[in-house]
Amino acid sequence: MNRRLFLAATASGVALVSSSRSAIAQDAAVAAQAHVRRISDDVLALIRSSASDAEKRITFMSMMDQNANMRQIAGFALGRYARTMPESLKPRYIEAFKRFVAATYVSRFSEYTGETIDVGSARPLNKGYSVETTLNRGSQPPFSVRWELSDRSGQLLVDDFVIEGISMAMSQRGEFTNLITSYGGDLEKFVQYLESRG
Amino acid sequence: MSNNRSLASLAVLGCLTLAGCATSTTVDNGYDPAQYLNRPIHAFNKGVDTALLRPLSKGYEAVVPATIKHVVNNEVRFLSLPGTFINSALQGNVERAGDTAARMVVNATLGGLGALDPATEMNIPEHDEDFGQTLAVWGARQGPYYELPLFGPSSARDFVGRAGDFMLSPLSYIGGGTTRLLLGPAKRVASIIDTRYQFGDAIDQALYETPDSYVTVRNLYLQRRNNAILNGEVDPDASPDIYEGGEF
Repeated sequence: MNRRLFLAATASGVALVSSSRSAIAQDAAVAAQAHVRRISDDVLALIRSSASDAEKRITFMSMMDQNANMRQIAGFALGRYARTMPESLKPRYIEAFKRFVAATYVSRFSEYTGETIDVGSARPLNKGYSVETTLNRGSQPPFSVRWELSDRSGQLLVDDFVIEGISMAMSQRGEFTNLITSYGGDLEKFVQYLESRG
Repeated sequence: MSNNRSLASLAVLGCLTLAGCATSTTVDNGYDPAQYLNRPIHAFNKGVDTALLRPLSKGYEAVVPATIKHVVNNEVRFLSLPGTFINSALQGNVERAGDTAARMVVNATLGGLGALDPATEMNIPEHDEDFGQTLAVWGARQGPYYELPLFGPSSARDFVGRAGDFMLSPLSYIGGGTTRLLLGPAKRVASIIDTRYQFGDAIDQALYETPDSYVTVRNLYLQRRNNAILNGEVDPDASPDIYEGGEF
């Protein structure tokens, strides 16, 4: 695919990400930008949809599975406990983590209605790419949201997003490690807690 | 400063005598050796929010007309401009100082002493600088995390910064007698209610829907401050990486 055509397609908001592996190799930052645009459009559409919260959770979970590196984010959120978690517990933890995150985000959807997202510039990082976006909130001041993506898992996925300087992965890790410590390092108990919240 | 230092030595003394410091004092964004002191203060602050600030903010949301809430927000932001201007200058940030001066002039004149905000419509950028950020730019370290009664999350550096902001604020010097006595506190009260209202959902979430709101508030505060100091220009390559502990 030629580069100009690819840029034109991106600019018009067409998602070519999954169909153009070679273009990703050629101009990965632009692909990352298109990826972010598509995800934010999907999330805004989900927020505005009339589906029930339960339905939204299911949709949101599958969106996360497809677009974010959930396994690795879940591991990061465990901090130093990532190394001590037995392999046998990991599948349960990852599943509970996804449900927990989906429940947390969907419960906050009602705060957002008339938002629009401007997708700004993308730039390459050592660890992947970052894409700057702005969430416009009508009369309230806009939020800046920086997305971090990489293809280290084998496909282009979201690693983290940072709202006004607050990293979601970092925030989750701060809460989880503190909670696990308060359980005396009992990861089984921690996973049970997460399951009860999801 | 000396006050702060004695607080720090108190914390160290506490660590020698109390079991509360058995856990590591290093946290994700800094360190928190005074946690055993901070936690009861957090519980107190949370109580004040539950009993006073939250109901007040909900009432403010429900009763006060949107236009007035808008004007209050404009004024709170307008009155913080002199501080932002001075601190931008102290940080040697000419661009931010210029933006802020332009914003002050436009909103003071066309905006009717800050009641309206034509500067935003003219796309004059808005910044927020305080003396805590200035100290950081000058090289002061964050120091221990403290949660202050009523004032909320802070750090050794931001604690000193607060004192500096008070002395740098023109509101501390304007007028005489009662005006001077009331203007500062009036702005402060308006600012607290406005902030609690503007960020109502986020604050509710952090305080009431997390397993340990003390840790959540500390985490959010320290990340926000770091971002403010760097003017949003954090180097993403220097920030934590989800692969830093190896593949999960």
